[in-house]
Amino acid sequence: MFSGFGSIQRYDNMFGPSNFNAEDIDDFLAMQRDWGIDGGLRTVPVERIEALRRDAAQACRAVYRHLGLADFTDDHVERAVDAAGSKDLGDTDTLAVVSAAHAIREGGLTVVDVVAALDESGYEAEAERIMDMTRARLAGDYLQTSAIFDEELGVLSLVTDPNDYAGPGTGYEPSAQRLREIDAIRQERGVEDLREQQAGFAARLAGSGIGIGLQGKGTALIHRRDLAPLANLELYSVAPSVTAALYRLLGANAARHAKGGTPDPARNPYSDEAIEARYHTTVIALMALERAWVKPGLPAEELSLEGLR
Amino acid sequence: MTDGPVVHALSGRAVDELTLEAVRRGEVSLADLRIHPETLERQAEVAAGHANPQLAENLRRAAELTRLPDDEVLAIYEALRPGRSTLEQLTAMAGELAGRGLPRCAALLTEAAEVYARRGLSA
Repeated sequence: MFSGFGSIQRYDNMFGPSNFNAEDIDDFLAMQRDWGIDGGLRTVPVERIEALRRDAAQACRAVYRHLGLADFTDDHVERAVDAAGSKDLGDTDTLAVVSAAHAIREGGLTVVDVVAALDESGYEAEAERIMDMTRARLAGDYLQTSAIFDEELGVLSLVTDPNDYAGPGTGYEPSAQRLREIDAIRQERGVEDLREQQAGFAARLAGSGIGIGLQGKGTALIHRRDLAPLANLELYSVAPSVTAALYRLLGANAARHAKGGTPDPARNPYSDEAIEARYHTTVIALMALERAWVKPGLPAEELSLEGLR
Repeated sequence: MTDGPVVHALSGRAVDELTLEAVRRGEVSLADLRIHPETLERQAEVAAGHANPQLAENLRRAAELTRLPDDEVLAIYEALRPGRSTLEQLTAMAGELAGRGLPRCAALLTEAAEVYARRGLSA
């Protein structure tokens, strides 16, 4: 589907951005579940990731210290646990990087030195794992087409796990256990939850349950508290096409909805501007202007006409 | 790892001997970490048996390359970049490799020399 699932920020590896990356993992996991496919990834609890990252950062520090490459502070290690990229590590000693690289190259350090450093620093399991990897490299089974290592470092490849697809229903089916993994996404929510979250914001605040929404890109609408976002009461055309008279009708109709009266149907001024793609850039520019003024997370604000008259 | 013949490192040691214990005893060296040409030949046979002669040929060239030190492998790699070598330089390099018992690598360099010259990629 795509060439790997990168988690390195673009600024740290400009050669390697994937079209999906770790920022999209929740979307990807939800797609796996909703489409019922095995995209190879699974949900891992935040606590597990944090513990793994802390172990990894501490093991790296131990190896660097043992090999005399660098001494990282506790603060640096803690930052590394939660860092998305190098910019999250605070001020780094760039010369230390150069001197470590120099020491690795000139000292002829090999994986054996790293294994010994891990072992002597109390990371025996990690040392064993690297020896396992080293033996797997020497066996060379991973050199075959489409090879990956499974969790026990067994090789799955075109040779050991051939593609036996022979038409619909004959291909790979996730095991029951794998399906449970795929289904167990962390923001598991029902349609009702989504509707509730997305229900018209203004309408929820208004005592009458009726609200008016205005957006820079145009969509002006009358909404009611219990309706789903797109199931609004009245939807008006793009802002540049809506006249003052039409806005007045919007307000009047909202009041009629609120009072249980009969709204006067609005006739939308549909025009090329409302439909054709060549006007979309203008609309997007208007939207950008509006977004620049948005302050997310603020509570609702009472408006008045004071000062406008 | 799959069942099959015992895998050896380039040093000749059986891979199963390369344990953490061996590292602790200081008995693992760089040559114990490099792949043996026999292993690459065996993988080449597997690839050929799975309808992938190109990969097989690639692995057999790799088997030849295990006889060269890293510096030399990298030098060949650099020489094969577009615009780095003349036809004569690549041809000479091919002759040298053939003389040292790396016929498949030599053939690749000979082919590259000819193709680079034809495609305007020679230095």
